[in-house]
Amino acid sequence: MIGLIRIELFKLYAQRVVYIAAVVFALLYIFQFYSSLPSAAERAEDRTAFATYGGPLTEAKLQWALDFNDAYEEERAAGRADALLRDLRYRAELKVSMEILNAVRHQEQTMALSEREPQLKQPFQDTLPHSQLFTIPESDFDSPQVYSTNGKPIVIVNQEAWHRIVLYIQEVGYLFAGALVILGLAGSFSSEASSGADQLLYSSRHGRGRATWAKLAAGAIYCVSALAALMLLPLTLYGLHYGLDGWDVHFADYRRMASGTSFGGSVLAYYSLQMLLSALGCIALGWLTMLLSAWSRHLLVPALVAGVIFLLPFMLIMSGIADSPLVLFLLGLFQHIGLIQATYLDRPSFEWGSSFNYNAMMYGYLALSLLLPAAAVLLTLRRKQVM
Amino acid sequence: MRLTIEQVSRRFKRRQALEAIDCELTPGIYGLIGPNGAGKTTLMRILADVLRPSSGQVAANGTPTATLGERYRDLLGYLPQELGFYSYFTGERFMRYMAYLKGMSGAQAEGRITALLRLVHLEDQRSRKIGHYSGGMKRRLGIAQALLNDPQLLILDEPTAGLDPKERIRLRNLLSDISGERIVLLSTHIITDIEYIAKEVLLLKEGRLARQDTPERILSELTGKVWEVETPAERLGELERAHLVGNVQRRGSDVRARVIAEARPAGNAMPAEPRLEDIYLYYFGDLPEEGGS
Repeated sequence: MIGLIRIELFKLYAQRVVYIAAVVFALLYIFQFYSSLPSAAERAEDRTAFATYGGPLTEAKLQWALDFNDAYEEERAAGRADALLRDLRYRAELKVSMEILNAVRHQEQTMALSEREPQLKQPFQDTLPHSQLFTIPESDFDSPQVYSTNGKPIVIVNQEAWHRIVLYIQEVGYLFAGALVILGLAGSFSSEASSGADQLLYSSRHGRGRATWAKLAAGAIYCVSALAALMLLPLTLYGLHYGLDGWDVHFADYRRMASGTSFGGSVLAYYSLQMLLSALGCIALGWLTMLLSAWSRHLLVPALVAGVIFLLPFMLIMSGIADSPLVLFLLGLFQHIGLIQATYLDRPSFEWGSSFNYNAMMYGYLALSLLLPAAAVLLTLRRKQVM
Repeated sequence: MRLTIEQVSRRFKRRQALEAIDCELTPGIYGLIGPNGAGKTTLMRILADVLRPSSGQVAANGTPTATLGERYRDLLGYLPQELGFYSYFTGERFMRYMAYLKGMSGAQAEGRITALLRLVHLEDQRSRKIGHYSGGMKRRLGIAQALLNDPQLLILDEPTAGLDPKERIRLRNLLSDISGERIVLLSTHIITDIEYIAKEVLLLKEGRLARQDTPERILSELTGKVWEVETPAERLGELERAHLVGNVQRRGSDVRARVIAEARPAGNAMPAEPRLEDIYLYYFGDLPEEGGS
């Protein structure tokens, strides 16, 4: 079986079109990344400012942010803001002060002042990364921390890197991943049918059973590797230019993308779970593509049909007809975009206000999206004839 | 092994490709002969378990192949007429892939692959990509893969297509050597491929089994009906209109033609020894050529 899987993988990875597509996607992303990348000096100032005023939020830092913001507002009112903003250090400190104020305002957090129960503070302080404490001015060491309403300390972190890394799959990554999956797997069976190689397969002992399992397994491995390759790009670029510090910070502290999250772990834990679900979503799309390939003798047909199914919700929404019951039904039927984006990971309730458990529904949908095409592929190949 | 074909028919939409084929095959070489469209490939596909009959069944040692499933395919070696290769595979990788598909372990496969590649004279080409192979080399590789699992039933659809005369003779001798305890069914348009090695010949005509017999008995049917006629070239057309004309040799302004006729077709006609080629002409000479099936 391992030998068969290896050969099936070799077939998949021998397709030049996959590499061409991957390179095009990578170039597009790299171009977009560098066209919006701040200068090295600006990033260095940001790092310094976050190292100084970021980390666990203390009352002193909050006061500093309030003062800084007040001063900035005064300068702005006096028309001197532009000149100040040309100073990279000032701009970096303004960013941190805004992050601090947003952290307090947007999540309706309340300050836990010095009279707060000391036992509340202790357990969280123990979990704070020490690296974030050493840059705090010495006079602030004893300053009381600021806590959110759920009792956890508020942490201020430069959100740029992890924010973009986590959102990558939801913004463009899903399109790249879907395209690579469809391109790579559309010919799984159809290319063999069109070349006549299928006769050898189906007349051999394992050609209808084990070989199909091997193809499904290889397809799944391919999907995961394609996603991993795509994900490596933002990780590498942001890691290189921003650093990946803050990986162990609570996901909820990435307020730009996680306001109101119910996820209780670090951003790395969230990202890992998101990638796991995205990989399963890619496999679901991959096996659906393989099923279409098993039904066709032409390479282009499964690629086109899978592409339409994949992009259907996107096209329906773009066409502005997403309100009719039929369209809503179709949107509900083919949710491979949602599966790859894994947006349901942090969305406990249904989009249209229902109290329906959206996560549970999507997990069920994911399971069906994996099982049904795989079973249909196995059944199809068991009965397939060469005409 | 005993392979029984019982009332096998196959219909493709409006066309009846095979109709009520009945025959039994036991170890030995069988030549399947018929013009394009006679149903040879359809029959071979059914026997290779890649196509189901519309009615009837095939049984191996009395058990229907549909019941045997992969146990039947385990007995099988098949070389299709149109064999698609993975052009980016090396010959060796392709053989290994086929070995895995046939249920062989890596260790089992290794020795067998080397032996078979040597047998078909591709040993020194094993690391080359199939895309760089000639048509004949691909055919030989196809034959090698069919032999991988030491099959009890070897089905070869036009195995000599694309082979040069030397390779054809080599294949003929190879099949003769390995046929011993297995059934070898091969279809060909080149009658000489089976003339000397076939235990029996199956003549397929318009989807029906027109004849199944030993070459000797079939040939004896033509005794006294095959003639060689020397005639001026301009009178050849006249001869062709009146009789079945086979090989024609040009000799200056005259031609020497092989003619099949119940009675002496011309005054100077000399009786000739019947050959399988004459049988082909005798049975199928009146049929228009069709596309393959």
